[in-house]
Amino acid sequence: MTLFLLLLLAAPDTAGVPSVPGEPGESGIADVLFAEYRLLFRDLLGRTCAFSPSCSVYGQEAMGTYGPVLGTMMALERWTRCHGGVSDSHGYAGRGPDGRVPDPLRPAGETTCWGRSLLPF
Amino acid sequence: MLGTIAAALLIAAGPGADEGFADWLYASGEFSTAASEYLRILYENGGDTLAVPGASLRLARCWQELGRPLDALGLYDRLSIGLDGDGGAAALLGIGSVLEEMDRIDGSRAAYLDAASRAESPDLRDRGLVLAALMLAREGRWEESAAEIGAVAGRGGPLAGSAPGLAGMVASGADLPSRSPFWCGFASAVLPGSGQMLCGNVTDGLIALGVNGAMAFLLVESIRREEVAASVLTGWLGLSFYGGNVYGGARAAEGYNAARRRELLERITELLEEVPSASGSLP
Repeated sequence: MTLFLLLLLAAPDTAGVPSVPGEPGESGIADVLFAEYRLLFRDLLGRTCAFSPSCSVYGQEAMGTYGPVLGTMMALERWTRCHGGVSDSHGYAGRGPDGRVPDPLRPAGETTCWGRSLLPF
Repeated sequence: MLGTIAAALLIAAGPGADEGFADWLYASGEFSTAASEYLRILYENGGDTLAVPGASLRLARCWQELGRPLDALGLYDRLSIGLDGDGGAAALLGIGSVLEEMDRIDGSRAAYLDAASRAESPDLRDRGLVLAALMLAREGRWEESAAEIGAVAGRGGPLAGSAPGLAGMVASGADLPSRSPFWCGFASAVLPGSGQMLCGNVTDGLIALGVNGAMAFLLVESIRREEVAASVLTGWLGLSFYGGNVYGGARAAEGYNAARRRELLERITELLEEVPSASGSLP
């Protein structure tokens, strides 16, 4: 426990602060817990998530959008999917530029634009 | 650096060569610099977009490529009103493509059909008809879409060579393999992880099965030992994991269906990329 507290004191100012633009800010108890989770696993232990947004951000968004009951279920479901075997064969749309698999809470619509392929200019 | 090269080339080539250089930048995919060049050309023509329709069309396309769809839409709209014949039809194709990107499929199809009816050249007409037909495919109306593309092939126009293959590929959309989100969720409710496995996500399914089994074991064990706090905690966590597992089964089916559809759309896109460039005279 003492070691943990020392680690917290030694952590940089940016620890636990969402580093990805668009990550939810801190407001309620759950948000503080998610920030602590990020501080411990991402900043101190160096764990990286296979997905983008990360599981903690996804869970935070899910709780903010669907409430604590459904949000917890969705967060835990995402957490069980986050493993080393995540590959393109799982139905995800490839990998992003950061090497992580895009898996937002609300999937974006199709980005295909056939019109551009056939524009005559 | 690019600006210096541009200036050197313009000096070497003399007056009148600037649109050619802008077109070269455009063809090279340097849309930002090309847009600046086209704007300069427009400025030199008193800002009259209809006086230099080719440069204006390409400027709108540059804006479209640079993620400024509303600016592109405004310019295409102006050109579609002011230009007759193939120029107006080309601008309407541009409007259709911007609306398609904005997921306004109905408006996009209407613009493509309008372009086809206004076009004078068979090539532009066929492009409009094929794109309008493809908008039906975007809405999952695969067979109607294939029939319309087949009709374009039957006309014997410039796209007659590409249309049959395209029609066949679009028609295959009706037979895409799919999984029911309801039944996959139900399967996961009966046996945790089975819905995920039915969609090919075996690792996810095994993890869901293991986690739910472990939570059930911990819950039973804590109840047997009459540990109230542990029972409440494991009960809440177990139910959350179980609910998440049911949701995960349904979600896996949606992901499976989306992936199969995405693969087909990508194959269609690849086929469209092989369609020969527009022939005939555009402004």
